[in-house]
Parts: sequence; C-alpha cells; structure tokens
Amino acid sequence: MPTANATDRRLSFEAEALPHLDAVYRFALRLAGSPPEAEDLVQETFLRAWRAWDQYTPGTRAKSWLFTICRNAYLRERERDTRRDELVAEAARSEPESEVSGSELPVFAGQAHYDPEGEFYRSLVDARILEAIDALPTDFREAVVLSDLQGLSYQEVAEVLDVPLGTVKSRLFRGRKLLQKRLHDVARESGFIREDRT
Amino acid sequence: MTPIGCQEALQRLYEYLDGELTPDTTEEVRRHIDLCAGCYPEVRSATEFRDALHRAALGQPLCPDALRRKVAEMLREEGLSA
Repeated sequence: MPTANATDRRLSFEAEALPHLDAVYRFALRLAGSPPEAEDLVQETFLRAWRAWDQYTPGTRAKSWLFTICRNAYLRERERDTRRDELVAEAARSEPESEVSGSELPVFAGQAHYDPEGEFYRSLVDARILEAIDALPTDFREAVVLSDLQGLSYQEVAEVLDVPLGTVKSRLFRGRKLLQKRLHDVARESGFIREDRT
Repeated sequence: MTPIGCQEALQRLYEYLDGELTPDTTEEVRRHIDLCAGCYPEVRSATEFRDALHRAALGQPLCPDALRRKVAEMLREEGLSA
C-alpha cells in the first residue's frame, strides 16, 4: 500500500503538472520544430518533472516550472546540433542584445507606407504565423513563444529563460519587430499587401 | 500626473498591451494613446499583431492522444499510477 506521502505526491503531480501537457507539447513543438522531437521532449520533461517533483513548491507556477525543464532538455539536445548554434551566432551578430533605444518604434518601419494600421495581419492564416515564429532566431523565438503564445508574464519568462527582466523586454521587442517584418513579407508575397498602396 | 509624449508612450506600448506596467503608468500611456492621432497607426498595428499571435496560439495542435498515453505509461512505470 502506498504511503500517505507517496499518495500526496502522486495526487499533487496529477493535479498540478499533468493539466499542462498540452501547453508543454505546444511549447516543445515551437522549440524543437517537429512533432517527433517535440514528443521526445514532452516525455523527457514529464519524466524529469516527476522525478524532481519533491523540489517543486505546491501551488506555485507549475507551468513555468515545466517549461524550464522542457527548455533545459531541449538545450541539452541542441548542444549536439551545430547548425542551430550557427543560427544563434548569426542572430547575435545582426541583432545585438542591448537596451531598446528610446527613439526606436515598436512597429517595424517598412510597414508604415503600405499598411500603417497592420490590417494585413487578419489575412494571415495561423500556420503562416507559426512558421514565421519557428524561423526566428532561438533567443527571440523563446521569448515570443512564452509571452505571446503561452501568455507568461515577463517575470515568468525571465525565470524560464534564466535572464534578467530587461533582457526579456529587449528580446521581446526585437523578436516581435523581426516577426512583424517577416509576416509583412509573407503578406506581400501572398498579394495581401499591394506595393502601390499609399 | 504629467502627460507623457509620443516617444515614451510608444516605447512602453508593448508593456502596456501586455499588462506589465504599474497602474499609474498604465493610466499615463492610456491617456496618451486614447487621444493621440499620431500614435494611432502604431497602436492599432501592434494590437492587430498581438491579436494575430493570440489567434495562432489557439490554433496550435493539442498533445496527441498517443503521446498522452505514452506519458501516462512512462509515469506508471516510474511509480505514478495515474
């Protein structure tokens, strides 16, 4: 017969961790980029979470805690993948991680001429938006996914990524701007934005 | 409360939309963007952008049933009899 402690542990895991299976799968999918890799990540995440469940404080942010485990598992896997490392290095060169300049606008400038109010976003199907997110450099993708797709607060994003709050703001600002540019390009290529529009 | 200008309002726009500002600063930004015609396209565009991402988030696939079963089986083997 299981002890009371073992029963409590099981019940709290079922009540607090397992309900986030969908959220962790979605997060893993955006991190890893393919369903098979995401499935491996999810299994790894819940195995590690269960084994480390004694270290979790009941009633705190289980979803963030699971995302942290998931991301760590992903990063360990990724260390073996030099192609992605090259992508991050390239992103770091082109988008230096600095404080956002006071004069920098939140919406990327190229859009202002053709569709200043961003109506084209309504024409984009979800799959194209998710593809554009998946194509973002890792640092920006993580911040955008956690904030915009998973709805975490900046503080929670900072905890999952283990970076200062200012870095989260900077990555979100730049990641969103880069994403806007890519979505704008998609809308132009698809004919949703006419180049002669003024 | 001192009114803020366009530059400050737009610099804080995402934090405003994300609900990350203090109540006082939220009110300052709200007062500015509610009345500023110059900021309107930026505010509208950022709002459309966020809405599009939120729609896309809802459209993501859920955890497949087969994976759900695999996780349950794996946890059972680890001592969690779900």
